[in-house]
Amino acid sequence: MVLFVLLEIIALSWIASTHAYPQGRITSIGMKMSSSWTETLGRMMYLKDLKTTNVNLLRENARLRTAHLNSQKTGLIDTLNVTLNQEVWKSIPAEIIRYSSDFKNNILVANRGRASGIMPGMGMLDHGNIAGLVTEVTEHESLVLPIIHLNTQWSVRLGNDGAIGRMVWSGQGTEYATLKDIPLTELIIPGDPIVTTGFQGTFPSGLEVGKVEEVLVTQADKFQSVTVKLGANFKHIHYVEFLTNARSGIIDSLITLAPE
Amino acid sequence: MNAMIRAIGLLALTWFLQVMVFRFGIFSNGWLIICFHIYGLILLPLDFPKASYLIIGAATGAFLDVVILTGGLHMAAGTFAGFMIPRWSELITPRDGFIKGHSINVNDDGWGRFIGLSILITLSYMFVLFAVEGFKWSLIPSAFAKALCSSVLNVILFSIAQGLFGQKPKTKGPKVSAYPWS
Repeated sequence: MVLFVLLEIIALSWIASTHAYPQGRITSIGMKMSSSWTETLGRMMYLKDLKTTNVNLLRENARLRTAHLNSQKTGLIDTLNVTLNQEVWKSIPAEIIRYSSDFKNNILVANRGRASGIMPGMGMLDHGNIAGLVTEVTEHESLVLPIIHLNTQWSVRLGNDGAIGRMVWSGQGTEYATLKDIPLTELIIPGDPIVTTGFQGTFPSGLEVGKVEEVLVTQADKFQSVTVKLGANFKHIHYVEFLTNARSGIIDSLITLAPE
Repeated sequence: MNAMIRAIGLLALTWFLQVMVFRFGIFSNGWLIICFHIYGLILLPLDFPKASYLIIGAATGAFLDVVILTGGLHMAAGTFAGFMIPRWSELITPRDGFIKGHSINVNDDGWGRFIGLSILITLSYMFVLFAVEGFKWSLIPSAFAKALCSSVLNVILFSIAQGLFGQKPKTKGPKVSAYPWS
């Protein structure tokens, strides 16, 4: 086979060198192949560069975050006030220093505590997605129950004006949770956003929780369940932020005044 | 060894005839051309190593290209034909195979096998010849049609040559007749 190809190449080269038309055709094919190869190579180089750029950006991001945290530690910047859903919320950045995701009842420990203004009941965000709730604090650390904890429940909404449901974690993987108590009449399409209701006072309403992955309907039940792909990435969680609203205390005190 | 020398001699003879006589055998605006040296390739012993057919085919074509100034066309065609000869001969091989040094001939193998092998080898050669000459994908169907026409003409020629000069049946029995008066 090799000999055959070799002899044919010799013959075709001979033909190309003695006949004008094949010569032109071979040159044209060669140029096309060459330009196609150059283009492919260029695209590959671009993708390789893109990867390097991405890595560099991630490193720079990490550096900036660390610098930001260090500047906070030195007292230059303490907290940041952000406006979420027309409410002013105080955002306190932190770093996760202890983490378990291999158990049914996972926990997170952040490196900011009472001294930084962290209080039990504050919500925690991972890249803008809700991730957990502060339950205990020390002077410089805080314990967080993440979404991926079997004993936590979250009040969420389907889209901005959809049905309200209760989101729990079923213990199946860190990427998914289950949204329950959604009426059968509710039309749900995979990819629909799941957002916070704001009813718990932990988070403002409309913060992203995740997206609808799958809708589970059982004939025996009057409600449907939804598998939610969580926005928070617990496999890569590192830098987080805690949210608190100055008016939460006032609102909570109002609730306690309600007649039994 | 004798079979090999005989086959190479025959190939040289057919090649010589092609150069001297049949090179002018071009008819119907190039649709029918005679390539008598293919007959020499057909008559090569069927038990040669596969690579040798390639080399012989390529060399025959290359020599022809040098002499009649066809610039590699016959070499490309000869190489392809040489590549296909072992595959085509496998198709016509009888169940018990051929004897050592056997070349295809009408006397031993019959007209069916001879014409079958001849048409396959000639078609392979002619198709590549016309396809490379056109050097365009759109001309492939026309190259195949030309190859088919020329193959038919050449196989008729090879059959005439085989009938006239091919191996004759051996006479059986003693040459002295029991009936001297007959």
